[in-house]
Amino acid sequence: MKAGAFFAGLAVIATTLLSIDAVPANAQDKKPYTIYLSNNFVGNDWRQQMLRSADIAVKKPPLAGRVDLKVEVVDTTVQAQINSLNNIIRNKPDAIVIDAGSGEALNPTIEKACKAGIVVIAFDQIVSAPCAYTMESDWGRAPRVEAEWLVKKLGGKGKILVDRGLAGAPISAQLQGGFEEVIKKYPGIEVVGYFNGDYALGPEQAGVASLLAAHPQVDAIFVQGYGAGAIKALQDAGRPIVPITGSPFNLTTTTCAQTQGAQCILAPNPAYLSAEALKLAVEILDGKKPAEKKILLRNAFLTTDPVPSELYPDATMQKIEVGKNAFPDMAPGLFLPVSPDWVEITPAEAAGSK
Amino acid sequence: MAIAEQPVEMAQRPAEMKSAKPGIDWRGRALDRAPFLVACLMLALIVAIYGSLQSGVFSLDELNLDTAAALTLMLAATGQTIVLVRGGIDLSIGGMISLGTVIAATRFTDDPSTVALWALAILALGFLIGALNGLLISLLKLQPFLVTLATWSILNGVAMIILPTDGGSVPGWWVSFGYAQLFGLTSPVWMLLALLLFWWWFRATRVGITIQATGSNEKSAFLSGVSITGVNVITYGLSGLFAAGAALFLTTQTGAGSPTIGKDYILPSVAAAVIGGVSLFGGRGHLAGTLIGAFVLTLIGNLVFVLHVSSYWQPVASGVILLLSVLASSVAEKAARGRVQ
Repeated sequence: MKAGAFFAGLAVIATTLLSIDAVPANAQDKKPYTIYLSNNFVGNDWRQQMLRSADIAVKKPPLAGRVDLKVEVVDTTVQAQINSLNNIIRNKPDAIVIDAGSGEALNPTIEKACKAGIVVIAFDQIVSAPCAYTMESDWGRAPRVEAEWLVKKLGGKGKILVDRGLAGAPISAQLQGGFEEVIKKYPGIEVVGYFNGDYALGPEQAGVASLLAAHPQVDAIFVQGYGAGAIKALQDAGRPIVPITGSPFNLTTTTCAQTQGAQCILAPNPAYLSAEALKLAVEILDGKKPAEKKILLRNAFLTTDPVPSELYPDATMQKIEVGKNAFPDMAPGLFLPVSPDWVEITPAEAAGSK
Repeated sequence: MAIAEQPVEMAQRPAEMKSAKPGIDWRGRALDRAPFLVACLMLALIVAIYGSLQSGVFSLDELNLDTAAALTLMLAATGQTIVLVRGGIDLSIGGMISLGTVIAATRFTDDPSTVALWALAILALGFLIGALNGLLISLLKLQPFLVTLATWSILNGVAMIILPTDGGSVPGWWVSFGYAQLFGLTSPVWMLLALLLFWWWFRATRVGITIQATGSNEKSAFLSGVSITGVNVITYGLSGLFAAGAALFLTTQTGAGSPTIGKDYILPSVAAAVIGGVSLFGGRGHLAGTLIGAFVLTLIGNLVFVLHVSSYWQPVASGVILLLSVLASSVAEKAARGRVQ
């Protein structure tokens, strides 16, 4: 009886072990897909975190053992990326995920890759070649949700400053245009000054500071870059901390969380876009193609005051909290959140401190 | 005192050499060609390492692919070589290449005669702008560096006005011309051969000889009746023409125009020439060397690719290989220059 129970127990354990083993065994049976990541720029925090996220994501489930990732970093010239892509195509990988140096000039090369049967996914800086999948944050939605949020904070009335971003950059015009389209509907809102934040802290702080000196009343600031620079300018000028928009850098989330009275909304553009692109590549290679080739990511906005959006009712808002999406002891350039739901990338891994 | 002594010493040296070694001076000839030979050796070394790590390197396909990758730089560097031999430098090719691509991407249609017309117009514009560079350098008596820096900026601005961001398009048949084949060789390889043929003809022409002579010694060229203004106009005109040609070829690779793409070729065009043994001091250098230099620069990328260097180290590795290449050729160039003086 005892022996019977023992063996029965053993059998249960054995089947459980087998069934646990069965899943990874199947996945491992398939040869990992060879996927190249082509990147043309490493000069900012976002791109470096993007590369780290890709490296980490393929080492953890569910992608562990599924991807043989090769990262190609070229200098910023279009020619270098074309040449590098040609080398990649010759090695006939299963897929290429690419953060592109030009939206147009890589197209003939990308068409060549598609013709060779390679799945191409352009993420972040995308390309217009029709055969490629593209994946980027929804830049149409971001400035409109931010504008709506600011208007609500101001009760539909007030004077605001507007960041033009980087002169000549298409994304800057798109963000500014989206923002102004919404605030135009509110006659009580008046734009009293423009500055070029250049997506850098210095120009942002200097731009806001000089406008503050000229305008005694400023009720909100639309920032395309950090946001933390605008708050610093307000503090330095001894002015009340007014609602601002910005991007979810650790510096900004921390500043928003720790500054008395700060009200912030930060538009998502996760650095783990690379990991998302790799996951999409594996899904496509597994035969699960997405319905649309052009994919817009709609991640949660980070904010001190979640207010549901009426323009985009499906837009989600995540409250900024220390320890969750603000880490005072970590790199200021860390982009948050650091990990998608389907894999666990720790803040230390994303920051490269581990 | 020291200044007065030096020329005497220099004048004596070649005479001594000749008297010491009657007949053909083999050592001297080898020294003369040292920069070029070193460039060849470097290319051979890179190809050998690359070929041992990647299969199928020693094939026509590889030649076709690498030449297509290098030809834009080669065309730009051809113009730069002529300017360097003249003893100048041309930064404006960056602006001209950008301008050429945006005009092509906004004006080319599916109709071949329209394309032909605009292509000719772009080439003519390249020559005219280059000629203007030459004229300004002569008339204003300014450094070529400064004049062409200014025109680079102007041309860049005009390109931005025509097309503010990457875009536009050229017809599909124009793109496919970039890899059209004849006898197993693609059009870029034929254009490479045409460049060599051009140089073989050009350097023996009166214009070619005059440019080289002016680059070696402007004063004595002037004293023997050479119009320095004329030389400058033709030299920089040709550079502009080749930059326009580079722009046209580039559109077969990118299928679009870009107002910023030209700057990527300015310094590499000088680097290709220097690796190929062209002297930055004028008067010395051959296009064959420059073309080999352009291959070296392009293949560095391929080499780093097959070496599987980890991502952040890739730019470092390319930089180190480039530095070694330039170092080797500059040592050889110094040896050759020392002999002439």
